[in-house]
Amino acid sequence: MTAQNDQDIRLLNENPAQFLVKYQEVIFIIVRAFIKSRTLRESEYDDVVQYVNERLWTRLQRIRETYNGQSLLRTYISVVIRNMVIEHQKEHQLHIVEEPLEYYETQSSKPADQMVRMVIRQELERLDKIMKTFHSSRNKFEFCLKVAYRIPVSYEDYLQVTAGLPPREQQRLWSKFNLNALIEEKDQYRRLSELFNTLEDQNTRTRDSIRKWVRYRLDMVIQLMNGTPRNAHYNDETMQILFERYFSEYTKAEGINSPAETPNMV
Amino acid sequence: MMQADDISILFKPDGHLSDHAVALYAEALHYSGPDLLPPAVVSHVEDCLDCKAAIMDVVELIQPQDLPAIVDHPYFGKAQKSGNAEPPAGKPARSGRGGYMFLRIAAGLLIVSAISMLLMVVIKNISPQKTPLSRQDTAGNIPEQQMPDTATRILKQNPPEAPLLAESFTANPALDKLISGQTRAWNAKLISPRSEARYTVGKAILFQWEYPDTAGFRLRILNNAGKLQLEQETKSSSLKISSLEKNGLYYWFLSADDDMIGGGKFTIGNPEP
Repeated sequence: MTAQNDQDIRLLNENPAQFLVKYQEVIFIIVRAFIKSRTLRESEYDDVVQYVNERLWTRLQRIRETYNGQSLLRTYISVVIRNMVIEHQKEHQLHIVEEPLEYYETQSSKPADQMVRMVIRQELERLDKIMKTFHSSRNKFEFCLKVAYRIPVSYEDYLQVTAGLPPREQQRLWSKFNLNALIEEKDQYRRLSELFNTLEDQNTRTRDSIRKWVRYRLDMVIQLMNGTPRNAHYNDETMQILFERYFSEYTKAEGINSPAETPNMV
Repeated sequence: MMQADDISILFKPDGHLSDHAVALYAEALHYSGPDLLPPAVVSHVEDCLDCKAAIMDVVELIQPQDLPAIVDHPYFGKAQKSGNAEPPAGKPARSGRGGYMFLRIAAGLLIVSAISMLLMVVIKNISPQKTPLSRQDTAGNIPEQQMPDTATRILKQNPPEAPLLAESFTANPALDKLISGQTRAWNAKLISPRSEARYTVGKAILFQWEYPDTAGFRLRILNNAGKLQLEQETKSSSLKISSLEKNGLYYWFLSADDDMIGGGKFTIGNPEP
C-alpha cells in the first residue's frame, strides 16, 4: 500500500484537524474545477470552500468509519467533496454560469493552435475513458459506430467482434457482409443485424433494434462528453469528427490485413 | 474502517454505485481500465448513465492530483500481485480479442468445475437437519459459515456472476448484504414488516419502526433488481403504503439524516389457495 495513503489514513484517525488542513489543496482543486466548468462563479469560490470545510469537518467521523481502504483516501474524499459542492449548488439553486470562457482565455498564454491541439488531446482522452466504461459491449459498439459513421472497418476490428468463430467462417462472413461497401444507412444496419444474428446464432436482431442499440449508447457518449451541467456542445456531426480522430489514434489496427484472396461481394 | 472485500459497500440502497465504488472506478480508468474491478460494478456501469457521469466527473477531479504507481495502489496493486495481470500499456483491454477469449473461456470452465466440485463435497458433508437450505436460501447458495475455508476463499476471489434479476423472486446479493445488519443503527428497532414477510398482492403494507432523536425519515422500496419502486419521507415512525403492483421480492431501506438506519426484505405474491 502506498506510504502516502497510509499516512493520510493515520492522520485522519489521529489528528482530524491536521488532516483537514492537509486536504485544503484537494478542496481548492475541486472547487476550481467547478469554476473551470462554469458550474460556479469565481465570486462564489470562498463561500463554497467554507461550506465544504464545515460539512467535511462534521463528516470526518463518519468517513473514518465508512472508508473501506479499496480506493485511495484522496480519491474517496474527492468524491465526497464533489458531492458537497453539488449539494451546495442545489441548496442555493445555482445554475450553470452563462459567462464567456474568460477563465480559459485569461489563463492561457499559449498560442491558439497549441491550445486547440491540447484541447483535442484532452477530449480524446475523455472519450477513451468513456468508451472503456462500456466494457464488455465496447468492441461491438465501436464496430457498429464505425459502420454507422462510415469509418472504414479493418479486418482487425472484425476479428475482435467475431472472436470465437473458426478462421474459415470468419473469412466467409467478412466477404459476405462487406461492411465497407458504400450503401445506404438502412442497408448498413441490415447487414449488421444479419452479421450479429449469425454470430449469436439467433434471428431476433432487426435493423431497427441494432440502430436503437447504437443510438442509445451514442446518446450516452454525447451526454457524457457535454457534461452535467452542459459545458460543451457535441452533437452527431461533431462526434463523428472526434470519433474519426479517436479511431485513428486510439484503436489502430495491429497489422492484420483482410484476406487478400477473398473477393468482396457487395 | 469497513471490510475491504464487502461488495455491499460498493452499492447504495438505490442500486447505484456508492462513493467508494465511484472512486475506485475513476482510479481504474486512470490506470488502465475497469478489468480488475468487481464484475457487479463493471456491469452496472455499462448501462448506467448517472454512474458513468459521476465517474467521469471524478476522473477529471483526480487528474491534477498525483496518484501513486499502480503497484502501490491498495486495490489494483494487490490485484496485480495476485496474478491478474494488467493489459499491456497503451493497449486498451478489449473483451473480444481472439487470443484472450480462449484463455478466458478455459479459465472460466476451470473455476466453474472447481467450484462445483467443492460445493458437491460441501453439500455431502452438511447434515440436512442442520441446514434447511431450501427454506433459507432460494438461490441455492450455501451460507458462508457452512463452507470450508478453501471454498469460501475461492468463492470470494472468484465471485459468481450476478444472478439474472429478471426473475422477480431471486435474491439480490448486494442488497442482501446491505440489510444484513452491518450498516444498521444500533438503536433502531424495525417493527414491521417482519423479516422476510410475505404479503398478498393488493393489500396495504404497514412499515413501522422506533428510532430516537431524529426529525424525519426516508423510506425507499426497491425491487430485487435494485430499481427504486417507491420513495417517501415522513416525520412519523410508521407509514402505510398501498400494495406494490407486481409480485416479487422487494427490499426496503429506512434512513434518517441521509444515513441508513436499517432495512429488510419481503415478498408479494398471489393469495394462497
